Amino acid sequence: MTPSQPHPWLRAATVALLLSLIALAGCDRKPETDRLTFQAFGTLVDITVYPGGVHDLTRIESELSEELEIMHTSWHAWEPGSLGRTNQLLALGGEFSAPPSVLPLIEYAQELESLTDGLFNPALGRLIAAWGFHLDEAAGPPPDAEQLEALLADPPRMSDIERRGVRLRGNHPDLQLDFGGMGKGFAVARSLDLLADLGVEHAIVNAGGDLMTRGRPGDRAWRIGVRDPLGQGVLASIELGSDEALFTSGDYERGYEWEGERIHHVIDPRSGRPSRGLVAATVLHDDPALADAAATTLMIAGPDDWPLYAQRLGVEKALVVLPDGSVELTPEMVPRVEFRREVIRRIRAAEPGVGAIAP
Amino acid sequence: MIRGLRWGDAVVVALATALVTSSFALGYAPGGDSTHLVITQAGVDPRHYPLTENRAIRVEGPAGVTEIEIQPGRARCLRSPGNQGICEAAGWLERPGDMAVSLPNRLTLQVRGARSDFDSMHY
Repeated sequence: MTPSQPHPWLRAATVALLLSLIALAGCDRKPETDRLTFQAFGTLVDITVYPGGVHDLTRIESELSEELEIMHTSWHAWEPGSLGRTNQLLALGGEFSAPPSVLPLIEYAQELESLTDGLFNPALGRLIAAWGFHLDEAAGPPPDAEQLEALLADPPRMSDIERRGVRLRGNHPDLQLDFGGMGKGFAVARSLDLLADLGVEHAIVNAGGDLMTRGRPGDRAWRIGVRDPLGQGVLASIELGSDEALFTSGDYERGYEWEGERIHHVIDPRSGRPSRGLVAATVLHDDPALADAAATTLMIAGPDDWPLYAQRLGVEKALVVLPDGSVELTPEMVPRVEFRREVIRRIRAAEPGVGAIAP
Repeated sequence: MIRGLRWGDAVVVALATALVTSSFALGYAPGGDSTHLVITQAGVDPRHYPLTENRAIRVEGPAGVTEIEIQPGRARCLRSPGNQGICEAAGWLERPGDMAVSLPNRLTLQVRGARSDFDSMHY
């Protein structure tokens, strides 16, 4: 060995040193995603953004909170706002210009009410209020038989709103709009648009448990845990790609106990009472407003008819939980769900041709 | 001393060995089990509590006090304002991603691990 050549041990040590430096450089301590939680739209909003450590979270929270509060006020069913004014004017029966924030919801709700034979009917605000759900903390007493009979004798429908462009007229004195079954879907979609304006390309907006994705966290899918509606822990996990909305309507969400009976907020327009037969209905769709409204509709449709109404609404991926803890799901939903506990499951689909909407 | 190797070479070898060892120690974190509870509340920075020993936590919120109990490896919402008992009904939170929510007090309790199982929870 000549003096100018490094000793083999020294060479090995140098290589080890370089490798360790490379390893340390690869130890990126930044989180993969950032999350922030805040109160808005009357619920807890949880935002996940990718990649972590690069976005201005303070600005995101500030701008989203402001936008969500504007929507919350505009669409609030019992506090003053655009929807409150619209309800007053609809009850008067004269023609008026619809507030721009409310008109798209009315148009969509008319379409959905028609598709669901009135199972999804946001014109029944008076009925919802009679059950004590137009209060910040829902409370009884529930309506008695006489009150229910009066409310159901000639119930208002979305088709009782006459629409000519932006001009509206109410044709039913009891018309009172309540967009509790679809407003969150609109709000989540708007929030994702706002995030895109703020430079966030990959995110989840989760409003009170209902959520929608945009983009992807790197080269993998978003991993979503589905909480068990009947107990603790996680029922299942679902992987979502970009622009997928996951919405659930459940009897555990809003409600109160009255004389030993659980009164929940999903009211069946046919009986005028809280829906029966399903604990929760979950819909996966690329349209969050449709997913929101469809989840409510499937809850109301109940254990026999939910596949029929899923088909009518163009929902291919849906899952319902029955009171005994068993789960029914559409064939298209099966590959999307990985259950985290033992669960009895059945695959349900609407019978061919039954309930199909004529073109 | 090995032939041809000077004392300075030995120092470099020792330093390199120490660096390699420490890089593994710093860079490697086993994932999986629940390690801490994260309490998020509107308007407050998230608070982290290790799930290593018994602990009782009281969180003041707009509707009153939420009482939280921590035991090694798990946590639960013991009592919380609201007439629906949704927070308490979540039971023990044991696995990464398990979550309890108190809407009246505007807070969430979520168990996380060294690597979180989920990007978001649907409920």
